Amino acid sequence: MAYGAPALREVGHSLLRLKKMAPDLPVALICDEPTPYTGIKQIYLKDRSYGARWAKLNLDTLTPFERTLYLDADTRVMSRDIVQGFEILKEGWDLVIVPSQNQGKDLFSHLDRTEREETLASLWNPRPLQLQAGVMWFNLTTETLGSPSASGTPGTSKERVHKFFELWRAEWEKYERHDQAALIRALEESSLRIWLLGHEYNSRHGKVIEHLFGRAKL
Amino acid sequence: MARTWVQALVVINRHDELGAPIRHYKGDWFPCRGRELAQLLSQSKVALPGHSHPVQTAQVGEVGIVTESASTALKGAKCEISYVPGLTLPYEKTLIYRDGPIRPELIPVAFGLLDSWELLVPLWTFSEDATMIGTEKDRALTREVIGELRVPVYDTRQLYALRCPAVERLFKTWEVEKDKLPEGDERLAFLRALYVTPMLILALPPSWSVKDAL
Repeated sequence: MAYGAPALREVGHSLLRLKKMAPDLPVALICDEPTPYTGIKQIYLKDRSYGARWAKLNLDTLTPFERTLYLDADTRVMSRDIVQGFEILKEGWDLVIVPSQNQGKDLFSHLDRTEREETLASLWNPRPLQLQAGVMWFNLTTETLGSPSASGTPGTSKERVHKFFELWRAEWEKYERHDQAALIRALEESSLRIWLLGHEYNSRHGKVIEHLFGRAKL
Repeated sequence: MARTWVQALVVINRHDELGAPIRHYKGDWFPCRGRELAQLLSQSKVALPGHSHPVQTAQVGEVGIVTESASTALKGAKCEISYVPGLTLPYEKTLIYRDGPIRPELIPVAFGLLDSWELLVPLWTFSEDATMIGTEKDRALTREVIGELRVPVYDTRQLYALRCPAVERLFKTWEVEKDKLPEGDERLAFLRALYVTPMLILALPPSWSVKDAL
């Protein structure tokens, strides 16, 4: 996504790395005006929100792909291994994501006090695993893979993922700021098959995806 | 998480959603959720629907712990314990406990979460991934199945499981994977089995087992 000059610049760097590591992968960029980048599909959306969160929360309807890797603008693909996320989706998992490095006392520490306290009070799980949504693979295929669920969940990844994004949007709209606590609140209401990858796939010094947190805001 | 109706087992003073003080007497039913619900359950002050006193004396067949032998770690767990070896699901919601630290006050919370998930498993640690455990042969076998070893490792000594087809299939596959390499690390065998059994698994942070962990 590219909203504003810093993000547009970061997307340029990110695209260079991505094209170097995975030149065969088609790329789409969500933005609110034409960008100088070529060889990619540009999807226009006026975003009303803090940090272009609304665009991110609508990825399920904006993506032109059945299996998508979402990357924040300030990420750098360092290895061809990003394709592994797509292999996991093919196995029947709905979402592939990496735990945040902020856990325990740092859980939701980036949130303002109201959202943090209200989130912790509203969650059934008093100690959730915080996930980092700046890198994630999600599945919009209609194949029915894996075990039939015992909990009566919809039968396809597409249905489950759309439902999850719908809940994520609704949770985000309660505070209209950050997306991570909204993600955890939404997951409590969702039925998603989630596979976790390690920090090499989304961290400051990740060997597969390096995440230069905050660079797109500068 | 939607509100859950609970029955007071003692007199409870609390506030309603508008902040007004409210008192519930023993036997009263009232809705609550989130942290308050978890606290009331862990303090054995309320019972969930369908259970006479699930937290204190769980009905046979509903929730319980399966373990191979008595463990002091389970002292304080307020539900039925069955001493059975292996991966069995005698209860609708079962904690299969084999070893390691555990926080008994969170057991009822985990059983509540199984209303939404099929399996809950704490992560082993944040500092160790699957590249760091097992033998080379074990890791190679695992890489062959899951393609990538830079993944978090689950603490398979404690599994909160719903009795359902997905979990039953996972456990069968896990046994098969363990048999492939009897001397192997069962956590790697679990990853191999889980990978080919997409399901509603909720990973819990290590602090679910150890209070001061992250």
